[in-house]
Amino acid sequence: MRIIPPKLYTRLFEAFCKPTLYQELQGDLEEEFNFNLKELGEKKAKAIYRKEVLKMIRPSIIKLKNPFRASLFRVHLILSVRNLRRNKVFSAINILGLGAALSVCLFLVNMLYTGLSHDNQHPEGDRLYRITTTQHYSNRQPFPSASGPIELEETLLLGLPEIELSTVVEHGQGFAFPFGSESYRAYSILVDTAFFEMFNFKIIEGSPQSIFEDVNSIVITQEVAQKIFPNESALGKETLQGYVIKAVIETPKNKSHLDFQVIGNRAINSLSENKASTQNQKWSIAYGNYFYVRLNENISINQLDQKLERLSAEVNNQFKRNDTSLHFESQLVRDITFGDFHQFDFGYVIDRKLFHVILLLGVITLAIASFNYTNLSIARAIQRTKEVSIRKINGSTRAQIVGQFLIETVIFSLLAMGIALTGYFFFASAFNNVLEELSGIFTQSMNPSLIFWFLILSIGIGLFAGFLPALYFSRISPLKGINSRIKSQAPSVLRLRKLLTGFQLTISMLCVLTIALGNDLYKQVLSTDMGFDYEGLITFKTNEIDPELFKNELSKLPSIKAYTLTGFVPGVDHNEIQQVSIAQSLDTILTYKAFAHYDFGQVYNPRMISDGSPQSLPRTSDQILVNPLFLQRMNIPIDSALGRAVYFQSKNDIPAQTKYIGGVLNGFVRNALEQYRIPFIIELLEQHPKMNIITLSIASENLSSTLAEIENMYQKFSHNSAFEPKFVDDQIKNSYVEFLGIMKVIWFLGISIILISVLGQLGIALYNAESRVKEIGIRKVLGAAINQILRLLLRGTVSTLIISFVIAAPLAYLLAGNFIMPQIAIKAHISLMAVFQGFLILSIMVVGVILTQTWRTARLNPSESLKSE
Amino acid sequence: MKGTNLGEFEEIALLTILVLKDDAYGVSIKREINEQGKRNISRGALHTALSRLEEKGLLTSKQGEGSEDRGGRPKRYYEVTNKGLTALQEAKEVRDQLWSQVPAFRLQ
Repeated sequence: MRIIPPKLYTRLFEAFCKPTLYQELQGDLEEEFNFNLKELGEKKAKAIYRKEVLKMIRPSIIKLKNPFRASLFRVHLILSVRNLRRNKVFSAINILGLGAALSVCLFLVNMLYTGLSHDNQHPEGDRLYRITTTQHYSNRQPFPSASGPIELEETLLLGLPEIELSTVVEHGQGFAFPFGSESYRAYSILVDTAFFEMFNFKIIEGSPQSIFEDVNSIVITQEVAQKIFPNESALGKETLQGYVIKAVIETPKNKSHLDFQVIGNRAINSLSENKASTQNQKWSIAYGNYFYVRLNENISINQLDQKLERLSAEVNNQFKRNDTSLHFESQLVRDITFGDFHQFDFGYVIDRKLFHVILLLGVITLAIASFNYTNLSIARAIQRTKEVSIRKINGSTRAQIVGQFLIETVIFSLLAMGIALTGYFFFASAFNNVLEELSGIFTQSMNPSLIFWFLILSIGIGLFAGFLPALYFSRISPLKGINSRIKSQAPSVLRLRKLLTGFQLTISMLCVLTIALGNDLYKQVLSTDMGFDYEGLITFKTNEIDPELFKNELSKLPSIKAYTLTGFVPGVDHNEIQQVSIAQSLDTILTYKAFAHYDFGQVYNPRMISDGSPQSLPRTSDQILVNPLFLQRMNIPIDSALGRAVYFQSKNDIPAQTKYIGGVLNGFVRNALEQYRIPFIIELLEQHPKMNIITLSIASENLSSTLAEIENMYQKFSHNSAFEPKFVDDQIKNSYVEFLGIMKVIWFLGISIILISVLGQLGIALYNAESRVKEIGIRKVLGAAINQILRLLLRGTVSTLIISFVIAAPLAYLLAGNFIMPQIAIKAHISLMAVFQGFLILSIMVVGVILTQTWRTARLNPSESLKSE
Repeated sequence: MKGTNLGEFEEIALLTILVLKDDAYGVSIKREINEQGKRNISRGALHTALSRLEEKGLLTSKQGEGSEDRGGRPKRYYEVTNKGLTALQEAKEVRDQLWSQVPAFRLQ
C-alpha cells in the first residue's frame, strides 16, 4: 500500500495556504516526503512533513482573508438589535441574569486579583520567603504556626550562608494618638533595620530608616496620618506616650499581607526584656515573631528547605522533648495571602480553601447565567428556525450563521457587563463595609487592567453561552425549517434543555439549603449557652484609673448588684498565651490564659464540672480554673484534677509559678469562633496590671441613672479617657463578625445564583405557556378545568424540584458539616427543619414564578386562542 | 541604497538557482542549500525568500510539469534575471573589495 503524508496536516495546510500557492507547495512537500520515505523511513518522513507544514505558517503563505467583513458584521448587528427589541422579555431576562452573574464575578475577580497581587511590589520578590514553624505532636494534629521561636533569629542571622537578608517582624503594643478629646489606638509591628530593605512600601514623607536611630521613633501609615493629622504634615508629631513620628508610608491594605498602622523599632522590646528569661524558653513557639528571609541569588528554594530540615532535626535533638518536635518550613511571601492555614497569622491572610470556594462559586454563577441563555434560545428554536432557514436559502453559510448568533450573545454579554459595572459601582462601598473581614483583599476602585480583563471575560462568556445554540441553529436544514417539522431534531435538544434546567435548579437548591442551614447555625450560635451568665452584664475599661479606687466607689452605689474585675470579657477573645507544664519538665503545652478577680464567679456564675464555686476558693492568688481540654492535654483525669499543681513557665520578666487547679469549667466558651482547640485557664488574683475591665450587674430598673452616676464618678478620676460601657451580649455578638462574614459571602452569592435561576425559570415558563396556548385551548374546549391545566403545566417543574432536592440535600449537609461547623467552637446541630424550610422557600418561588405565566394562559378563553385556526 | 542590497540568505538562494541551471525548483533548491550550506531550512522559509526576490525582480518563475512523486502537482521553476545577476555581482564586488583591504595578519 502506498504511504501518504499525514492527512490531518495536509488538510490543515490546504486550509491555511493561499490557493494560488497550494498546488506548487503541496507538490514540493509531497515530493520531499516521498524522497524522505525512501531515505529515512516512514516515521521520520512523517515527522519532517509535520514540521514542514507547521513552518509554512508564515505571512507570505497563509491566506489572509479579512475575517472581519464590515458589511456582514453590520447586517448581523442590525439583526441582533432587531431581535433584541422584538423579544423584550427574553432579552431582559437574559441580560439581567447575565448582568447579575457578571457583577458577582466582578467582586470575586477583584478579590482574587487584589489577593494575588499582594506583596508583588517588593524587590527580588521571588527570593523572599517566610519561615514558618510547625509543631508536631506524636498523637495529635500538627500545629502549623506563622510565628516561630525567637531563637530562630540568631540562627538565621548568623548561621546560614544561603540567606542574603533576614528580618524579624514582631507584633508590637498599641500606640495611642491624640484624636480630638479622645485617643486613637493604632496597632503596630516592630521591625529591625533590614525590614525596609526587604519590603517596599511607598514613602509618603520622611525617611523610615531613621526610626532605628533611637527607640522613640515610629513610622505611621497614610491611613493613620490622614485620620489623626488631616491637612498637616505628621512628621515630628508625637503619640500620647511620647513616640515621635519620623515617616509616613503607604497603607499596607490591598498591598501586602502585612497588617499594621504603626511601625516601631524592635529595640523598644529589648529594653524591657532580659536575655536570661528568653534563654530558658528553649525553642518553643512564641506568639508574634515572624521571620522573613531573602535567599542568595544562586540558591534554590530546595537548598533552603533542606537546610531548614537539618536545622529542625538539630534543634529537636538538642532540646529533646517527649512527644513534640518542631519543623521549620519556607513559604513564598507572595503566596502568603492565599496560603495554607497557619495559627497566629497576620490579618490579611485568607485560607486557601476559601480562595478555591470563591473561584468555584464564581464559575458556577457564570455557568448558570450562561445556561439561561442557552436554554432560552433553544426554547425559541421554532420561531427562529424559520428565520435561519430563510437566511440559509438566501445563501448564508454555516459559519455566517454561527457568527450571527455569536454576535448576538456577545452583544448580550456586553450589555450585561454594563449592568454589572453599574451594579458594581453602586454596591462596591456597601460590599466593602459589609465584608469588612475581606476588605484586605478588596480594592474598591477599579484599575484599568482589571476592567480590561473583565471585558475579555464578558466576551468570553458571551461566546461560551452562545456557542451551543449557534451550532444548533447553523445545523438546521432549510427544508425542514420551512416545513415546520423540526420534530426529528427536537428530542436531543429538549433533553439537553431539561438537563440544564435540572442542573440549574439543583445548584439553586444547594444554595438555598446552605443558606438555610448557615442561618440556622448562626441562630444556634447566638442562642447558645456559653457556660456562664452574661445577660444584662455591662463591662467598661478602667483605662488609667486604679481599679481598686474605683471599686471602692462602686461599692457605695446601692443599685449595683455585683461587680468584678477581670482582664478579659468572657466569650470575646482577650487572652494571652501561657506555657504550662505538669512538673518542672520541659514538656509544655500552650494555653490561653485570662485573669479574673476572686469574685469573678459572683457576676458570671460559670458552670462547673467540679463541686464548689470559684468564689469559695482560697484567696491565695495561686488558684486557677481550667477547662476539660486543658486536663486532657495535660493527661490529668477529671476526678483527681482538683488541687493538682501545674507550673507556669517563665515569660518575659515574670518568673515561673506554681498554680493549683481550683475548679474545672463546664462548657465555658472562651471564644465561640475558635478554629483550633487550645486549652484555656483563668487565673484568680486580687489584682494584676492587665486586669482593667470592670463588669457590673445592675438592677435593670435604674440602669440609665446608675450608668450616669458611674460616668460622673469616672470623670472625677480621669480626664484623658472616656467612660465606655458595653453590654457583654453585644460584645459576644460582635465577636462573630468573622463567621458572619463567611455567611454574608454565602448569602450574597447564593441569592444571586437563586435570582438568576429563577429568572431562567421565568423565561422557560413564559415560553412554555406561549407555545402551548393552542394545546390548552383545545383541552379547554374538550372540558379540562383550570386546575387540571395548571397541574399539567407544573408537573415537570415539581418533579425537577424534587429531584434537585434529593441531589442537593446531602450535598448541603456535607457542606455545612465540613465548612461551616468547623468554624464554630460551640456544639451545634444541623436542623432538618431548616433544610425543609429552604426547600419550601425555593419551591414556592419557582412555582410562583411559573404560575404567574401559566395562570394567564390557563385562563385564556379558547375562542381567543383558537380563532385563527 | 536600501532594497536592492542582498541579504545573506537571498544571495545563497540566487547562487543555488544559478548552480542548478534548469532544474531549479522548490525541492531541489532546498536540498542544494541544505547540503552545500550545511544548514536546515524549511520549505516555508525558502518560499518567503524566493517570493521576496521575485517581488524585487531578481527572479522570474514559470510553472513546469508535474510528476507521480508530487501527486501530479506542477513544479515551479525559478530563473535568475539580469537584474538578479547584477545584484549578485555588486554583492561580490563589495565583498572582494573589503576582503582585499583586510590586512593579512588579521586573518591568521
